[in-house]
Amino acid sequence: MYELTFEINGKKITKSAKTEKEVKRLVYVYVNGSQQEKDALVSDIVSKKEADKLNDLIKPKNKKEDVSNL
Amino acid sequence: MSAICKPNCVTALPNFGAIDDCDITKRLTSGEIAKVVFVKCNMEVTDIDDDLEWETNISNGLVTIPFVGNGKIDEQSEAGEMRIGCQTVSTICNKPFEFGSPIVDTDAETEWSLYNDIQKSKLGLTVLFITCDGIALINPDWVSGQNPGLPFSKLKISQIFTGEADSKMMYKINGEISECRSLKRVKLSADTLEILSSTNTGS
Repeated sequence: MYELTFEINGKKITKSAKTEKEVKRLVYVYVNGSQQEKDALVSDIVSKKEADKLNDLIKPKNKKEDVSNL
Repeated sequence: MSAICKPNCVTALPNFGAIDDCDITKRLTSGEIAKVVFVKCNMEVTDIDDDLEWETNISNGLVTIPFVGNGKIDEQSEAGEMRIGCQTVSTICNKPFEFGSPIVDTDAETEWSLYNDIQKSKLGLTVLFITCDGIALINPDWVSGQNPGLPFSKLKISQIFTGEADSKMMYKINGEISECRSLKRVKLSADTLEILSSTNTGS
């Protein structure tokens, strides 16, 4: 699940998307600009989510190591 | 065609990319207008797909939605041509639209007055459309906090009696949107569609 917050003209809109396609659809509705700018934003959102996922995977591994060191 | 080439005018060309077109019908969408929505031209919309915001705007009298019907937006016409830099430039661009509804208020016979009120208010209105697939067609420049409607340069509302046996009276709205570009297509949620569909239909 992606949580997106668009802040334009001082107005905040929070939307959620289940898939990358939905992220793209929402960015194209709520953000103006060229295709390149919008697609770059979509990539940022998706890659941040991927990075968060990776961090989540790494965290339990570190915990396990800490426990074994005790 | 002008021999003057200005590559700087091209900042970024769109990339249509590849699309899965094995199931062609999945790639098609309705070209039929089911609803025409008139909004006050200074009405600001934060979220185009927020049913509660639409409900508030409707309650505040900023939105009017004629009865459901059938409509279309035609090919645009360009006018006011000028020759600039060996090219013909159009300075005026209009998209004609039409919408018709045979639904009338057969209980109280009041709808004629409502159509007259739209006609009377036309200088303070903008228009947006909803297709049969639940897609809103709005101003391509819309972002949060702006009016989603399209300004129109012409609006005519006709009450039509054909004079034919068993024919039904209908209202026809004809107009022209002052916009050259393609309209922003926004897929509305079921909740928003429900609010926009139940308004003024008596349901």
